[in-house]
Amino acid sequence: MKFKSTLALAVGAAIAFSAPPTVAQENKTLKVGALVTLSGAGASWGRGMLEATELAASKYNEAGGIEVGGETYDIEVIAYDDSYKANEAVSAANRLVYDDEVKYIIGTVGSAPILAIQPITEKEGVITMTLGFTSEALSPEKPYTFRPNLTTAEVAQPQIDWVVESQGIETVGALFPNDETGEQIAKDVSASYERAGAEMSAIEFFERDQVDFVPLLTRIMSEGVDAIELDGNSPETAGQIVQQARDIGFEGAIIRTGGPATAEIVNVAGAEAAEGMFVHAGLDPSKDSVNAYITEYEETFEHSMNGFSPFFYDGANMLFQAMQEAGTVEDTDAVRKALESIESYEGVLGELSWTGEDRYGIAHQIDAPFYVAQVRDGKEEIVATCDIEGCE
Amino acid sequence: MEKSTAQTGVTQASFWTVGRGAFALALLAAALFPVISGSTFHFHIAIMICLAIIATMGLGVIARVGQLSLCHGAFVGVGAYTSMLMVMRLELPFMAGVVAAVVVTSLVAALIGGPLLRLRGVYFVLITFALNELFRLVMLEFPGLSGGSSGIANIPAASFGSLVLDEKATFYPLALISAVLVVALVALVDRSMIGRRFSAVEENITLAESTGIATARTQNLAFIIGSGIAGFAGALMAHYIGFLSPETFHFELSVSYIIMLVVGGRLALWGPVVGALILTPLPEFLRGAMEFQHVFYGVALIVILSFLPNGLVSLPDRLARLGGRK
Repeated sequence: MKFKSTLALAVGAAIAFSAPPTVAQENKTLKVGALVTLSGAGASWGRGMLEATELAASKYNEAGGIEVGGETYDIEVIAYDDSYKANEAVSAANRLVYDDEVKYIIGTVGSAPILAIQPITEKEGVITMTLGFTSEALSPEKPYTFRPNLTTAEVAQPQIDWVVESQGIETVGALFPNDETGEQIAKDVSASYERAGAEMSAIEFFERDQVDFVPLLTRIMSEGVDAIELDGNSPETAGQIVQQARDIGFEGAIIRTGGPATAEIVNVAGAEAAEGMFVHAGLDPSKDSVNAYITEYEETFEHSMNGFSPFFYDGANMLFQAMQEAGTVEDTDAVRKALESIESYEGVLGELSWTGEDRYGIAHQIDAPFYVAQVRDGKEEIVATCDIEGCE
Repeated sequence: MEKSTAQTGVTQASFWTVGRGAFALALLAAALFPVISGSTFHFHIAIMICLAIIATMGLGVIARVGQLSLCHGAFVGVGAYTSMLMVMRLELPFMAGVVAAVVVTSLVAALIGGPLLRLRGVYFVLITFALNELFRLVMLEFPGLSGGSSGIANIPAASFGSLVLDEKATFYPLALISAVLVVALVALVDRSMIGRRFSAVEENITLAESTGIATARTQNLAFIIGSGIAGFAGALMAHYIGFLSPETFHFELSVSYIIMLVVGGRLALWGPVVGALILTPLPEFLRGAMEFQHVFYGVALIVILSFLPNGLVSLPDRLARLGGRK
């Protein structure tokens, strides 16, 4: 026993002292946190955001690292799961900010989690890129928070105007999750339908974990609605609603106004049930850059891509570009200002800029083109091209 | 034979002395760990452990009369919202908020305790589960009071006059002292006549009643004390996190307190401390994939209930007995 440990010590010492001195100068490490939902409902959004960040980081890492202010950094993505819960997000944010000492966080997915972590991130000057749809996420008092995806507030009106007019819809029923995101979307969407000349005549709220929607759908159908709106539901939940609505004989239009989720909906509901659905499409599949991203994503991660993913790929790349323009990874105030001043960025999605001064009081909301598509044989077919002003 | 019994007795006694000494040292080390490491994140985890100890201690008091409350998280919520409303709406000082939180939760417990505690076993568990959900849904329905599902942000930090505890390192002493005081309070209750009544009711309620103990009142008292402690934990939580949303007080929070209590030791004074110390930092090891946390919790519960029904605090005793048997 004694001999063995002496031998181990000797071998250990020999290895330690014989290690060759490092020749090449090693890159520094730039840590980026991904505080996203990786379990439960909303996990597909979280995965899409995390993997977009990893893909953007790997591009720089494969090219030898990202050069900022004369230094080269390898980008390390640190992913933590918040399970879509505010208190979990607070613990994870504490860990990212104070233990891992990150200055950039991609996340959160949910609205309550972003509102819960902002006291920490804004105080410590940590730049966050959230998916959270709440209008409260962006404000002049929160200068370090950006939103690289479109929310219902931006896309609802143009798309709803177009669908209501082209399909002659008068009454709409809807199911929303009973939380901040759901309530916010219910308010926005109802107002948009009213402005478009239709009425949201049946609204039901449910808990995010729910999987049986037949009772709620039966109640909605008894109101004789022309269409069912699915905005605000996670892709998996939306798929279940589509399938169960068709199963119990709903023949009207099914509309999903915000949030790209078609691939997952078709996956869950099946192509037959999803046929003819009107969906918001953040991506134009006829664009080469979009196709290239989807192909690369699916080859790298071996599963289908969530439609929010390219927003965060572009968002992460804009953030990296801002660091390079500011010439620092430490001074997040300089990076924030450089990020704000990026205009007409050529991303996967097309030309991107920041907007939102009028709506939120700060231009930290992405301005990107979007589309209305109809599902045909399980695929999106673009039927209208939109911007914040309207669809054609 | 006599000699060997005497020897075993000595071995067990010395085992206990060493065991207690080691436990006290481990607690001291755990309490000082963030101070030594100086990491803000470690302070955060230590504060969360203290808050969990306080809340689980409250649940332990209710368990002492043989009831398992699934609405303990809701009482933490009542305390959190009460203190927040006192400080933010009525602009009262932090301490007034904390006192109000304890008073209001105790009053709520006193009001609902009477009819509630007539139920036993699975019926009590079910009704408390329903109450927890009721609290959360009611809070969602009254956004004027609770901020609705968007929650309430920017809750002022704990403060005593001009001393504002808005840093983790400054809040930690308050959380630690509060946890120590709550453990001391429960120890006092345990040693008093009330504690003995609690044990009698837990052991055999019919027998306790036949000896003249007012069992309903005793159970009510445990429920009031336990819920009041939960309210205290809630008030501290509100002013530490600075953000409240009804979704925080989902029944999963109640379940997590139950798991801490059972893993630590349901009826032991130090059970909640051990449970909170082990289970609060645990999610951090699985932060990248939280779904495994539930698997781990499930396995830990099954193992502990099978082999250590009195929780981890009974482990030294079990080991001492095993040692004694040899």
